Amino acid sequence: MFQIPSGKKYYEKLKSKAYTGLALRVLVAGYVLYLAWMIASGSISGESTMPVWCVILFCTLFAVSAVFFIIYAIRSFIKALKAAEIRETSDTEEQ
Amino acid sequence: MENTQKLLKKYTMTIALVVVFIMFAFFTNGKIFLAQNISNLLLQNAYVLVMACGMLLCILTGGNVDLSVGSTLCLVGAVAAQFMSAGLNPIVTIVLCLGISLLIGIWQGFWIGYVHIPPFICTLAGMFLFRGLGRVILSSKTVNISDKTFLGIFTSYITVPGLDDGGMKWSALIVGVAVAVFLIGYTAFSRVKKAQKGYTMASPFVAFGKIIAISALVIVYAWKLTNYKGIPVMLLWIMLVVLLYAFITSKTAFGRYFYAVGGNEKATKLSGIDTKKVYFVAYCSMSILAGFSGLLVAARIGSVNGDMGMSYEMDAIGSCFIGGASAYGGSGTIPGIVIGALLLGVINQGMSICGLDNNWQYVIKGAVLLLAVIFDVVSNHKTGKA
Repeated sequence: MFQIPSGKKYYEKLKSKAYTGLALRVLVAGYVLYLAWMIASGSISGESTMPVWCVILFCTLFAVSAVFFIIYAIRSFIKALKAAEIRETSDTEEQ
Repeated sequence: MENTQKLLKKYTMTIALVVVFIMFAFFTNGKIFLAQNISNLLLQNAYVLVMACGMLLCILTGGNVDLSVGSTLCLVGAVAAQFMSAGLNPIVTIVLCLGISLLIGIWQGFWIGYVHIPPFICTLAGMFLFRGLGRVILSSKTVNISDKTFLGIFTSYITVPGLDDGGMKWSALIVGVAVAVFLIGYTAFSRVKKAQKGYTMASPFVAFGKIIAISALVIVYAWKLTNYKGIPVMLLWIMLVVLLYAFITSKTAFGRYFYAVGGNEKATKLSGIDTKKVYFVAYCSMSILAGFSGLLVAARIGSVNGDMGMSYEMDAIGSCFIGGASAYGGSGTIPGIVIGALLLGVINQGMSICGLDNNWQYVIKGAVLLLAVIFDVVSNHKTGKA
């Protein structure tokens, strides 16, 4: 089977699962970031009666959690992609 | 002991729903049990229930989601509002709107199913595209819907002359009791049939306990409707969609294809099943349901603007995952997502009745999500996936 020397080949199903996992996790992290933004903007516009220390606490908590979750998502994605790699160069069929 | 653990695991979300309901009943001094609130619980969450049914099919195919449903809902609502403003017949408007939803579904289903564009990318593009189109159609204004026929089709209540003339709408209770009797009768009948064929069955205690609890809930819900305005037409639309999708996913061969594709796509393909068609149908049905939800929401609010349906995709996706659908596809049921949607609905409604500040509502939603995130990280750590 012809193979591009520098190109890596993957088990399609595992690769697709890795991408799906990354997409879902980034989506969740994005939504948590959005919630942090909504809390901050609600407080800035004066629509909320939440104490300022609570706003700072929850915004920081949500933002930091979201950033950590994105980092975790990327690390998991790299690991999953590595696991999906086809190591043999010949006589290997897709899963 | 093992059986109890199995039961608890199987009904975790149902128990969570009951606990959350009781918690909000306590915090709202029982206001959540008022007939109007019970009636509104389903009506306010009609769009979630309807869209979650379609989303389940997408998720079943391998954890794929449709991010464009909120925008499709807005676009279809905008088209409906403009058509009726121009004096078009409401029935024709509904048919045309569902046709437009189908076209959107064909568009997305083609790229995802036949060209293999990742669903996340394709529907993300759709999210921006259809939202933009909706705003263009509305000229970035709010358009009111005043057509009584259109509003009546989705938001009226069923009134039986002679039965519902007074303050109490007895037809709702009669229907509720009839449904409860049918459920118990059907369970008994199917158990007898299964016993004759020698199939293994759950114990009568579990089977009848479950169906009697469901029947009791149906009668209580019907009693609340009797005390309010009777059976809302929107409830019938919701039931129609939920029952249809429950039937497709659990009783038809085609419904099983979605589980098969999510379980092992390659094996499904080798079994002679057209997996491309399965993806195509999943996204077509999702768009039709999003469009239908657009009509439901437009009728309920009585107007349409460019922000309608914003973040509704998160509600539909959330309901599916809360209801037990797997993020990697292949598992999930319609009764499960109904529980998930109701749980989200009870949390939202409970917080509104409590009069919680918007910011506190965001904090609670964020806390629930963070718990899910921690669960994901910890469970992957345990299995050594990350």
